Amino acid sequence: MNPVKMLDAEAYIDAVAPLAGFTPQPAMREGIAANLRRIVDFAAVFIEDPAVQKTEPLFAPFQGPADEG
Amino acid sequence: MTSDTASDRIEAALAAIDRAAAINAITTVLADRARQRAALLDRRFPQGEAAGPLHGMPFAAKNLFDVEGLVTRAGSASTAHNPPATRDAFAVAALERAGGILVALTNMDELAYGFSGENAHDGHTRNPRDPARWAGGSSSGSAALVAAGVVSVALGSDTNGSIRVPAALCGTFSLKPTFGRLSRRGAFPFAATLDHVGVLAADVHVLAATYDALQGHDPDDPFQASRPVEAVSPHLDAGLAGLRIGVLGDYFAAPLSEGAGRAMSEAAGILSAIRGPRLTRAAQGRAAAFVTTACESGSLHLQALHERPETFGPLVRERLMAGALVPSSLYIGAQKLRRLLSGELADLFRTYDALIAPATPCESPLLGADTIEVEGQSMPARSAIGMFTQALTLTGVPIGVAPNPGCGTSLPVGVQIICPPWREDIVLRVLAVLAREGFTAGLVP
Repeated sequence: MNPVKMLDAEAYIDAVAPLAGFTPQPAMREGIAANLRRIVDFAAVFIEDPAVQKTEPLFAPFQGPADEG
Repeated sequence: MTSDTASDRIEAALAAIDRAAAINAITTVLADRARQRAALLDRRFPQGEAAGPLHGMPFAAKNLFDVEGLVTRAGSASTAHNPPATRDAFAVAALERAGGILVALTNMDELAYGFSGENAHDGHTRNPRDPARWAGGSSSGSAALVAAGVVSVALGSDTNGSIRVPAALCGTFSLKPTFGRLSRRGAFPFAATLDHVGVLAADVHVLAATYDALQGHDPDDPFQASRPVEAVSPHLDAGLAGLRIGVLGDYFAAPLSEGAGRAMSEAAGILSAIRGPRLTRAAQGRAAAFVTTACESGSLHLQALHERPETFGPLVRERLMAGALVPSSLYIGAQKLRRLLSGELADLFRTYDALIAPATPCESPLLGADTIEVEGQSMPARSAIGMFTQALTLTGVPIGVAPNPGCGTSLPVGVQIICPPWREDIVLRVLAVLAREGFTAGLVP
């Protein structure tokens, strides 16, 4: 399932932030949710691209033969 | 080389620092250290010999570089609990081995997370061309000091454009070398797979000499590539012979202010650049760099976000917290996109030796601006100003910026010179041609 489509930012923060080791103060929650939505919006630009889905990840520049100078 | 002693040059720099206080480019003046270093050089080289190519040259460094005995702030109060650095960053030490003298640490966006030069702890860096406007960031103070003529060279770091954006908005030359070329040891991290150490300078020859001095193997930096020292200074006057240069279109063609558009046309004319090359995944590249940065920086600061969230500026804190919560599938997807983008760019470099693109869509926004209007498009200022630099950053290729007066107002713009991996020599050759042909006229202090 595409996480971009399933993300409810507020519910996600409530569920995951404690697992990540912090509990946001109420005043921070709106700002975190807005930023999380923004990240997800940016991810939507590439995450469903079929070419992206079938490609192996490259975790830093110049790790593959095609990238060598 | 001037006949001034190193001590003379340091006193002149310290006086210039005082005069430039209004632009708020500096967080720490290292007067005692600089004077001691200058006196040492003057004692060791009394007859005008040089300790190295940067002999007696004052330089500044973004305040994320370690300086022995000081806590490395990285523009944040969240770092205040850290112990003082036990030795200088590799880059600082390398420039001092070449004869340079560190005189100041410079203001920056908190933890390098921003393009504006605004800082909740240290105040905003002001653009020396117009103090009502951004210096650009995150290497804001380094760019502003060079543009103000206080120092001729400064160290910065570039993750998504943090050298290139302020270089363009303040009007300085810059170089972000190939990822892994220079040691990052002692440079406070931001996003591990995107961070680069680099240089901003008022002059191409100083830029080249400084970059050459920064090269060299550092066994303490696991990210540094195994490359020989490849000096660029000897090739500066090689001109454009044999170089095929292209103008990146599509994503990089709009939106552009009149000044940014003029700069691109002028650069293309001087370089006889060919219009046509396209990087079709540029918008995806920007998006994937955004996601990668959020995840890597959020993860880096997770413990501090848990233990002392109040020590972060509110905007940065909430960005970092959001990044720390991103599903891993999005991060992995961004790294898949990295491979596709890098492959597409590598294909272009089979035809072109260099590509040019605008550094920013427009001139510096006013401090406090939330949006910019360019060609009828209203865009969020703090992210859109980096849309052309961030789109390339995942690839790690070397990129220089040549400043240009744009519309001839006091507000400069910049053009990116983008080259294949490890070909900083071509970047510098192209910058030198642009400087010689008057592209940067009126901007160099």
